[in-house]
Amino acid sequence: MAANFWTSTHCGLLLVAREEAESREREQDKAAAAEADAKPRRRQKRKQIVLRGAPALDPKPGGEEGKGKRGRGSLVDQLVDFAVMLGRELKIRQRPVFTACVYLRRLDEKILAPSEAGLGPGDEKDELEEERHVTALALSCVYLACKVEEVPVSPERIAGFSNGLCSRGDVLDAELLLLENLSASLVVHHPHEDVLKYAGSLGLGKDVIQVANFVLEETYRTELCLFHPPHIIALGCLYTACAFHNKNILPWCAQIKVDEKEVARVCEEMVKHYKSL
Amino acid sequence: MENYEKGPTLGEGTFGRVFRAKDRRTGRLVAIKKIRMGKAKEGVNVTAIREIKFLKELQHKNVIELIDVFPHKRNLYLVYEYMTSDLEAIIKDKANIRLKLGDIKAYMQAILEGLAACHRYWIMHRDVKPNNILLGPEGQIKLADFGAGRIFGSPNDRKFTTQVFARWYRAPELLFDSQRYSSAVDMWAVGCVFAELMLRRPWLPGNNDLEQLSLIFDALGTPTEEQWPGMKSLPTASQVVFKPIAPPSAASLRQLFRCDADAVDLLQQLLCFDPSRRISAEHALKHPYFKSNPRATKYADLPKPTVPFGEERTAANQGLGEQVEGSKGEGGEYNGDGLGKNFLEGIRRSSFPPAASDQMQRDQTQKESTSGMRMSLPADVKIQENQQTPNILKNGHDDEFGKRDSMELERPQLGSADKAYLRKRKLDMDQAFLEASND
Repeated sequence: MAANFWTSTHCGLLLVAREEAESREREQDKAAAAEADAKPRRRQKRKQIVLRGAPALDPKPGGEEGKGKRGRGSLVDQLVDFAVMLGRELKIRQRPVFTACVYLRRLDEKILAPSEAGLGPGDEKDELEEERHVTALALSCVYLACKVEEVPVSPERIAGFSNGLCSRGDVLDAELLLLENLSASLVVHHPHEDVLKYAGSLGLGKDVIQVANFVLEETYRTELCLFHPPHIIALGCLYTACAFHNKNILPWCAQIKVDEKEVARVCEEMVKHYKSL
Repeated sequence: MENYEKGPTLGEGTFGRVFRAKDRRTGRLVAIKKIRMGKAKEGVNVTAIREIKFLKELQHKNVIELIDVFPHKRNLYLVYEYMTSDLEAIIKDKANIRLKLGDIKAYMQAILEGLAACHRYWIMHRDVKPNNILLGPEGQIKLADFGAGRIFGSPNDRKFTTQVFARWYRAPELLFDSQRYSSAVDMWAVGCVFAELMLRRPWLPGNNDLEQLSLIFDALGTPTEEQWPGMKSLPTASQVVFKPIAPPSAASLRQLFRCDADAVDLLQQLLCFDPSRRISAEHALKHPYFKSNPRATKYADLPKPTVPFGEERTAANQGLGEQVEGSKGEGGEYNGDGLGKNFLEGIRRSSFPPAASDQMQRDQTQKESTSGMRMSLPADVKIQENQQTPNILKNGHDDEFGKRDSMELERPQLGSADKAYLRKRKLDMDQAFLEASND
């Protein structure tokens, strides 16, 4: 894949995200004086992110029914679901869809609530206005991701998926906002190639790879991409897939000097995600 | 925007106006590129997106730094570190600047190191030319303009467009319409820049793709099957038959460039026909050329451009057959006379196209392109021309042109290949780049 992952902005953001999460978690630890075990820690981290931000916004993006959780975390989740759906409808390849999801998750919370940050015109909490703003953001994430991955789609086609809520202009305006908010770090490293690479060296069959790819597609809807480097996500997916076939690849992971705990954590997160569906 | 104090315009970039500015917070001088959004149907230009995504990842002393990206009033602004001039201005300013061998070595080393960094990151620059090599106030040398850049090397790459590079720097495989190429195309361009640095004029200034090829073969010999296995399988390679020309001896090249054997050897390796055997940036840096005396000049001791950006930038941009219009320099010290002279000199030296529009027209009517004006077309190249073949070509070469009739039939195919760019353009979304470098 492009560039060197370890020196890339992707890796940098990853570390920042981890640090943030950890520092927040440390604060929480202090406050709650909770038991400091590695695994519960991880769970807390996730919960913390879901709860991050004010729960003021009515989650109704893209005309979808809200999943009913509170807080902004669920809004992002919905937007990601929306983007994945969009990708499927537009027959966009997996890589750009993944990129779009990463963009969405990296977005600042301020930008998702224009009325609070005074960005959009929705001063009076105009719900439709907000919905439009948020939908336009999700649409333009997909649009921008497609451009970055060199498989451009026309903005009209993208805007067409908002049920008339957004025009082409809205998508393009949101694109500028996006570029600024992402600090122009556009290159995203994908786990897709790694899945194939590792599966090859493990000598796994097609059926396992297929399951791993299904799991991988499902990771878009989790926050894994914010905290784990792509190769760990890839290994986590393979680990999950191999579990169906009664195969344990963790020893192998240790052999290639990959932190097996991290791989197991990815798998754990995925199982949790599947349970929550 | 409020963080920057706007200064004079530095010139027109590929996709927007560049102006100098001062960062109000730090006092640092920066160059800001405004990306025009007005008529853009596709939002932020793909060219701009490419530039942003690559420069953000690439941090190297020989690659320009992208400091910031921000939108303002529906336009996108890219903030770069401020550079005072470009290599083209240095090359052109023959009256005031003498390039020592060590200077050339320093430029080459910097270019190669910048490119090696790109290639390590699997990024092809695809637009290496002197005026994309910027020079900083302390003599720093940096690669800029990644608008044509592209990630390469992935096995599931799609085909790339061949319409990259200014024509004079285009590798033969591109001229033969190969759509699967790699970083070697950048290395060819480096070879051309190297030659240009030594000659102080563009070495192979072709006016259309066909003429470019014939100039290349004239200068370096027509590639044989051993030199470039697989050449015949390239899309348009079989449509043109070139007269076999023997490759020049190292001695004759040394005479032409007035340089040592190491330099000629490096040049020959950079301008190797077979892309798979062409030297890589990494290897070129280990070439004895960089280890022999004279050593590369230190950045601080490199010749300073006499006319910094803003005063001559527009003229510099025009050098490679881009639009020719009045210089838009705003600086008070702008020396119109000197510029005019240099520029004209450039035209004379390298048979510059008189004007972009004129040249475009010539491109379109490529069949007539060799008539009359194109005196510099090497006379002994066998090209399938139509009936309007200029007489100068025929003089003394009747024997070779005997085969002409049979080849004429194939000729329109090359023309249709030209039209195929339209399709490729859509495929690759390189439209903006094409517009910019529609040489």
